[in-house]
Amino acid sequence: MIGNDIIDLSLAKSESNWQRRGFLKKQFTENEQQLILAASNPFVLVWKLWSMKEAAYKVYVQQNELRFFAPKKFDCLLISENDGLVNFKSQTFYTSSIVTQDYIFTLGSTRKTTKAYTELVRPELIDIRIKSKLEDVTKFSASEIEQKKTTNRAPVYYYKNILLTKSCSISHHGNYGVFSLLYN
Amino acid sequence: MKHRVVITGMGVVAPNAVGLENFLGAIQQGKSGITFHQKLQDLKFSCCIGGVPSVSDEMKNQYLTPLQLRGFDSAGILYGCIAGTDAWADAGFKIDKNSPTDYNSGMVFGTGKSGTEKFREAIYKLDDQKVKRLGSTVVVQTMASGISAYLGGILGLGNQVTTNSSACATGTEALLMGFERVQSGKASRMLVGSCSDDGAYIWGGFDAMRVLTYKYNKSPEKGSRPMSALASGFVPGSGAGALVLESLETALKRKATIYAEVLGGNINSGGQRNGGTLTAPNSEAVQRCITDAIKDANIKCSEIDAINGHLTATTKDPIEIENWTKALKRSGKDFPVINSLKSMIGHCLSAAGSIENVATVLQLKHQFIFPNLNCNEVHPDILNLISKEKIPTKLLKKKLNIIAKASFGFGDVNGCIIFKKY
Amino acid sequence: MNKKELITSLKKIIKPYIQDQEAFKNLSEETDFINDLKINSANLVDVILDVEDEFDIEIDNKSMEKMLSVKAAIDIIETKLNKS
Repeated sequence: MIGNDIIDLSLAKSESNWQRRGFLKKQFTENEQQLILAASNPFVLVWKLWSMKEAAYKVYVQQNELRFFAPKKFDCLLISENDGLVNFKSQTFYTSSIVTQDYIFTLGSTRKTTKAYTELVRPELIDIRIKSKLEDVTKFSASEIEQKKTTNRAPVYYYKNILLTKSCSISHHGNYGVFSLLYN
Repeated sequence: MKHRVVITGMGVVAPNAVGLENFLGAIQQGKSGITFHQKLQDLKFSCCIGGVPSVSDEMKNQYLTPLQLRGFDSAGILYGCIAGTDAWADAGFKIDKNSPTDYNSGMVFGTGKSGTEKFREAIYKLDDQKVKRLGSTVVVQTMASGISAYLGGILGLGNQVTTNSSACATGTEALLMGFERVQSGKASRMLVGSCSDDGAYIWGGFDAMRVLTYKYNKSPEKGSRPMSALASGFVPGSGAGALVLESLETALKRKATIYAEVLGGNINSGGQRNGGTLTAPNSEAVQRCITDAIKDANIKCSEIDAINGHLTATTKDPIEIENWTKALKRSGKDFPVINSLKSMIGHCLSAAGSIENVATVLQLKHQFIFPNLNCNEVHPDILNLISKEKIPTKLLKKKLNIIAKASFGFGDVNGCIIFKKY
Repeated sequence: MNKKELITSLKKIIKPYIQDQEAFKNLSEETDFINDLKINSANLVDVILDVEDEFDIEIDNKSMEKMLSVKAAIDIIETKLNKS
């Protein structure tokens, strides 16, 4: 299982104010708050940790029929510049992030190494790019591949009654869109 | 012929992380595992904070069978089984209850007490004349060697399987006992480690001795302050650590991951003479333990790159630093970097040595020094002995070849291990 | 404060964060913050903090977990208001 998240940093700057009273306290663990406050660029760390939490949450909801908003319970550990672990309940999710000047992308997975395919695209092209990618892989015609949603609103792709994606995660924010696929 | 001994697997259940990967992340990040415990306050403890690993019911079921979990109430045995099983699997061995007895592999897994909660329940029943209602597992859950009994069966070990006990030096002693057995060729492999129960019935005695801090009930994460001028007693913790020691030949033969080499070490006692008491160390013996460990490892004092201290956050920390400076004949800027894991997880008592050994080996394997938390104001007596930059408060990436680790325990007992990068 | 007034003040709070104007116009108790109004999940905490300020209440983590729809928000605000 995989889950991803992307953050358009210029939009994050204008849409949210991480320094607002309560913002960190409600969403980040004590340890994460300390890390953020000690960081050389706290703004970037806030959104990197946030995207790790969101990516892990998106893996979790695919496994469990439950929606909720509890970012603080997703406990982040950075094990290197880009890699991290997110613990929720007794489960560990593995994350890998890419931080650029413009965006932060995180891919979360239940496995240490994932074979997921990820592509960065303009938000409006996400669906069509997924279908054409699935066409390449499965040889089914893109025009006959359909997106459906699980009861938990996680996207899944079908050709007729054949499920093509084992796990699919889509995310868009501002100017950036991204999808990650695990083929069935 | 003496065999070289290496570490090929590890497992850990600590207040700030469960599992080796999480633990690696947590110690690099300086994550505290100290939290407030309402039950301690309800029982009128002065110190209401402590370090308790978070283990869910799901996780229990992964390590113990439903039958084993019936009437099970021994936190230390649970932590030990998780850490020990993880270490064994990490070393590349399958855990299979139908596997043949492995006569080449043994275990020294220490603890202080076992099954305190279970024992309490049993005592109430006994006093109520209900001896027949005790159930069949009170003995195995409360005997000192409960942990090696449970774990030995899970893994199917057939060499020496025992539990050692030397208070807060237990984990370090366990490692050295296993080390000697592999070094001498009496076993090809020894699982070594230690565990501790947690909660009021274990910690109460320390609260009564006034050695726990009572000043940080409102800010638990700030409570454990080894080497700090503001240290005011230790914070109790619990958990387990486990390491697989193996002769270099067999490790190489089966292409195991090698975390580090154990070069040597020493265990001794101060005999409660010369300033040593039931609860305080004889400094001469501490220094001797360190110098004898260095001799045993056949290295020079100058080769030690880092120290993982015992450093509990009581008033005794400056004395420990002084003992290191005298034993190594190094001080000021020449002193190695030093840290104490207790700043993150508190003093895990009988489990302390082995959790800290796991952390020390991870530092060697991944070449870093984890930060000392809550130590921005170093104790002035310590600053008279070593320079401030030797006590890093932030994660330090550093080339490391040799780390010395020591543990000291009530009863005036000492242990020191020399680990080397492999 | 009755339910209608509550919904009106809640609408005022969430207005800056919504990305689906149509759904906002037709807002009802059943409206979902993320699925219908397309509020960015990173802004959910702002909605919660704004609600705390507006109604002078504290939304604990447990309540926050459930605050994903208009109905859930109203229930939580009502409970907290009745307590204080």
